[in-house]
Amino acid sequence: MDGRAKAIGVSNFLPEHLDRLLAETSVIPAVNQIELHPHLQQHAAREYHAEQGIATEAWSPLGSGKGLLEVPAIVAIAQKHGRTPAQIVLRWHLQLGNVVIPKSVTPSRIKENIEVFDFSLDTEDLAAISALNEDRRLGPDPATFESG
Amino acid sequence: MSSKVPPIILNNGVEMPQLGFGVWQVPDDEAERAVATALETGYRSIDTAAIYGNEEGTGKAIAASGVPREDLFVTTKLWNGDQGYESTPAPSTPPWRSSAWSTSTCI
Repeated sequence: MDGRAKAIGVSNFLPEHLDRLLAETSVIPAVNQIELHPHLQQHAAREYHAEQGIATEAWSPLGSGKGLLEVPAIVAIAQKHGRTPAQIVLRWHLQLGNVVIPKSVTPSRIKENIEVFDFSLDTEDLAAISALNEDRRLGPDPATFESG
Repeated sequence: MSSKVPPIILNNGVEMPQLGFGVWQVPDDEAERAVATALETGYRSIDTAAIYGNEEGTGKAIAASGVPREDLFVTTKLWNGDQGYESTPAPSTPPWRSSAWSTSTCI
């Protein structure tokens, strides 16, 4: 290790992949980046990561524009707090302890997505979002993806 | 590390901002502008990947931002076929890259 990388992480590793990594190498990745949002809450993966000391990082944290931000429960919480749906979902991630990396090329949204540290969701809000879980993937399934 | 975003502590003691800026599916020419905006706004963590095709635009924005390297956390990712001790971190080496950032590489 020549010191150029501050930390090593993995992406789209399922618990069985992590088991193998941990068993066959001395490496415990610092981070596993997985698809994670209110429709795919990844309870088992997050729990496994926490047990192993691996940070969970969410890709498509806002549901990649496929309707998550229009879900009535999220819109309602947004109205309650005077925030945007994207801010509510990002705040949910943060309160779960997820690392989150929202993407936007729109300057107003880039700004909006980082303005999420001056309010918090209460237990009622968190429960409402928790109820949205459908274990539904929007992206490829790591169990079947052909990496080529 | 910016005070705007609280850090989490990784299992090796390194601090990582809990919220960062992603550039997945952002074309290289747009990436430079988007990353510049993000850095101006206070983001101090950027998530890119060799396969996104925008490491160069991302790197240019970082270099031009004036943000000290030690204040930045940059994640880049290698595609499965490019991994391995000898080949990492080879994929693209524009001259500014090796000195512009320390990266967290995902395998």
